[in-house]
Amino acid sequence: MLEPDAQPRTDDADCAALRSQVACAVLALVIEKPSHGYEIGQRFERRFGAFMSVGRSSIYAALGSLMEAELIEKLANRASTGVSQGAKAGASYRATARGARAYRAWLAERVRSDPQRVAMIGRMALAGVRSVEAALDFIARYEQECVREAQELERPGEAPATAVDGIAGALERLLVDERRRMIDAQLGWITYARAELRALHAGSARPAS
Amino acid sequence: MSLLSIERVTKRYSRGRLERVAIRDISLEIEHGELVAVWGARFSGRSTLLRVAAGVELPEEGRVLFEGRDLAECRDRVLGRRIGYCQTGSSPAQRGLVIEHVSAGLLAQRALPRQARRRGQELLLRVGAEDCARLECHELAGAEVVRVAIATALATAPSLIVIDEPTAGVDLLERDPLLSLLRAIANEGTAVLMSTGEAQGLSGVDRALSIDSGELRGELRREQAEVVQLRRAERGARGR
Repeated sequence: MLEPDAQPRTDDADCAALRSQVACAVLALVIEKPSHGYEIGQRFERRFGAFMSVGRSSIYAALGSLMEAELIEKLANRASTGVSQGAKAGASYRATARGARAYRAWLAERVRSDPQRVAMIGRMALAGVRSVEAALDFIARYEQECVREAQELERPGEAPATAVDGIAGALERLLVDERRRMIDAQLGWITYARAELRALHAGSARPAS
Repeated sequence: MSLLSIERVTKRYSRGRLERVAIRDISLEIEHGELVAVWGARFSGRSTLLRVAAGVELPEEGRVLFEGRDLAECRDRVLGRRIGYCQTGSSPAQRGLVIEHVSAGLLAQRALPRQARRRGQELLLRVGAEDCARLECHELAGAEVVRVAIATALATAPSLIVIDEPTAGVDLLERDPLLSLLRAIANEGTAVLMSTGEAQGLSGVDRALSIDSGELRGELRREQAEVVQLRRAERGARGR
């Protein structure tokens, strides 16, 4: 199911299907394990319930759109795949190779920082921070937010992920590390920005010769 | 009464006729069993703050109280006993076996050589460096240097360990286990004050502080951090 030849970006149809965060989460669950709709709903609640609260109808709507985009498909023979069949079990789904590729591409796009958000914050800073003192205060507060975020990050397990932990353990560790490195970069920028602002402040305070 | 109380401390260094303020008007309290990390860039004053906190150096202004007593008056009795200051920089010139180095503090306190050695072995096991006992000090590398330094500091059962940049020069994959060791030591009741130049060193600490140009900025206790997290989660739930 999972092919190694990942394409860097999703195509238009995939993008349309993956516009909904619920659809992306449903696709992730189907990639993790072929399941029927009811079971996907239960797993969705357990895995993502703290972040998104959605009804069963949204789950089935997401399954429909993923089917339409050919990112998932109905299983031909449930018995041969080991998908559980209960009274509430309807059709079972599994991810297509295209679905798995599209999901990885979507995920990679989301992991990087959002350039629109950065641009928006930049414009807001330009409008609302009008002096060197105010800029230095903003920088100090930004630093505190970075330090706070680093403090809140859970330390991964003591030992590096092993074969027993599998890819999930390794990815969990690596994503925490990715976030830490982002914070390191932000703190590095803060040090640089503070030095430049102080130099600017010293220059403006010096009487003109 | 706090375990350590730094009260409006300023420390200056002279270089020729120039004088540089390393830390300025810093106040900080550390409680028993707390893990406190100070983040700062190079030359921010983080190492000076730790040396002053441990009593390795005395401030020009302000005072440092350890268990209510002024370190300026009692540091000879406290440093290396009730306060463990970890020397984490490896010294190629350092000679002698690791086990001798770790048990030296106990011998100085008149422990019997056999007892000191046994306690040294236990401490090396505690910090995960039991395989280093028979190595020469200068043979240690990376995380081993730090682990042995922690074991040495723990030898006298201190109430506070001060450690400057425990992860500097340590392999990436060995850093988290080292930081987890410091967390465990704090959980057992020995307060830990550490400095770091990386976000990694701040994860899961009870208080994260930042220092810039010798001035300490903002601090956040872990309970406060949890409140912040809860508020963020609530905001996220409302925004759905």
